[in-house]
Amino acid sequence: MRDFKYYLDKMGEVGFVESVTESNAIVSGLPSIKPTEVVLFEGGEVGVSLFLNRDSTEVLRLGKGRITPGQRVARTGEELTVPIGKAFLGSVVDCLGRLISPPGAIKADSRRRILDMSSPGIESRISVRRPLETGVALVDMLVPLGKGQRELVIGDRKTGKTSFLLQTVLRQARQGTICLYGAVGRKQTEIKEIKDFFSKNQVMDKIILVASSAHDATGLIYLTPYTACAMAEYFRDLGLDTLVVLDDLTTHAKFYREICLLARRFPGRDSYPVDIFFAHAGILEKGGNFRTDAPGGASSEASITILPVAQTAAQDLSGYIQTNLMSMTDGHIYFDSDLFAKGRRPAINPFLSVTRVGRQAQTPLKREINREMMAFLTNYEKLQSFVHFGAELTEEAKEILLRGERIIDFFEQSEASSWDSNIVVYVLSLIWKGTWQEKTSQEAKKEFHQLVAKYQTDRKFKKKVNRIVDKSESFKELIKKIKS
Amino acid sequence: MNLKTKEEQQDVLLAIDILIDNRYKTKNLERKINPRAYQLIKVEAAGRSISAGFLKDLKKQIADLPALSLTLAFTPGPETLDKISLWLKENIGQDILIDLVVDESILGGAQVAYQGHYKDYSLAQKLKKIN
Repeated sequence: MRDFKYYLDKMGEVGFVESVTESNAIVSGLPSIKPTEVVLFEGGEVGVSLFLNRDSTEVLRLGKGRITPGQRVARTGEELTVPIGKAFLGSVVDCLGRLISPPGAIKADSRRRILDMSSPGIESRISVRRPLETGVALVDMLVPLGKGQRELVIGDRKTGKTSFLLQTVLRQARQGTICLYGAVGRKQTEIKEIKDFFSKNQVMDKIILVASSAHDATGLIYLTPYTACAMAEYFRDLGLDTLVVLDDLTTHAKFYREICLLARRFPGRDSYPVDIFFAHAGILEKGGNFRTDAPGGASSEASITILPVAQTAAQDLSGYIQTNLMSMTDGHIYFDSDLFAKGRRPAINPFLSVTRVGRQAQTPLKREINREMMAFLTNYEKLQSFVHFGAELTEEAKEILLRGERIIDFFEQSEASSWDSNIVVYVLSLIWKGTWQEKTSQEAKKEFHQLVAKYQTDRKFKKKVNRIVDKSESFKELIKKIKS
Repeated sequence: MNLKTKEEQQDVLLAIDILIDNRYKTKNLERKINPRAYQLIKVEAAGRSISAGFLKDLKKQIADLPALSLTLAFTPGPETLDKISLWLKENIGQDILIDLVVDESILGGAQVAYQGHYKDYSLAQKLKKIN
């Protein structure tokens, strides 16, 4: 960026700061300013025009430097852009693409990308038809996701949402997907932990961490999801599949509320700005499965899968932002604090979770297992409530309870592990067949984990499992093959 | 009111505030008020009594007058200011004020900003272009 005088001479327009708040500055003058245009304050601070009034402009500050009333402001004539390029893979950047970690400079492409470009229309979109593995057995089997899906991750704080997201990113990065992790207004220690997790698992070369900490200027925090999406769009245009995690959008909404209230915009429900739905829908609209014509691209379709996060308070799913996000995503994964308290990991409640387009991306076999399991687990849950009454149980009921217990046991998964869907299908079939009926829960769990570990280390066994699962057309056939 | 510069406007506004705050006091009032500003108010009153209502109306009238920001390399004398002011009133509008900034680094000429438009006619800018 050039200096203040350069832009003043180039644009021939000047503005004066009338008043300043923590996040905004009201600027008079600048008669031809456009929305989302970058402005430069005389002291070197950068801002972006957010709202245009009749006689003044509301400028969003992108720094925490000193701005005083009466200071001059120059237009730049440029929209807010971010640097893009493969060189950013493996780094932690802020929402303007400035490197946070590792220290040094990045050689970005000469092109820059406008931060909030309108999303492609319906003609370039195709339906979600490829599965997206999360490595979390419960999600992959019961609430499956597809590439290009927008799935809300919702739940109270400290229920394992971030762990699930880290597992998913880890799995996808290992499969070659480009992952953008948007950490919105998080603690700096949390950002470091996220980075360390990926570095430790040696997948940082597929990940860009777009982070803003709670100490950053409000404007930077507000723009974080936009930057993550803009960078994802760059990779999408190269024909690559991308996964965007927005952690989290309730915090984003709170910062946007702060900006708008300080700008004296009329407050809506819960004092959120009236266009909060529009703002969030605009971000999530960037997700989808797209037809790409990138020369030399890896495939003719490329997806942007978005996993936005919403935090609930005391399991209240009816909050304003939460319901907004539910209505603009293709389903949600609900982290239940009751299940978490009971010790279930991941604490996902499959009955309150929804996936609208994920099943269509599954193979017929997995879809069938999904149906069977959901129907069975519903029955199991119902039966469990009868057990509480101390009712005498039939043999059939006892068998359902035991099998249900084993399935639930199997879905218990540690935070750092990532399971292939084929071994999950294989073990579930064994459970269905009644392999561990006689064993205790602890013994069964131990053996499940041994089987999964064997699959990950023993190439011969892996091949065998893959062959059996891939060649089975139905659940019945699979069980028959396993029996034989 | 015949105001030329932003500085004069500020002086008159301050004088109005002092007059309103001290309307029941009679002693030492002259010492507190800028004589030039008081003179301008008296001229505007044109023989009428300087009542609180008159002062409030006057304040409202002059508070939002448009200003043209003019950066010069020297401090202009009253004659130069009169000339500039006259030119502005004839060519732009009757109620325009000059917001004068002195910046020797522009060497000569002027930088002008009005209603958000900015023009640099300074000598420094011309020399820069030559380079």
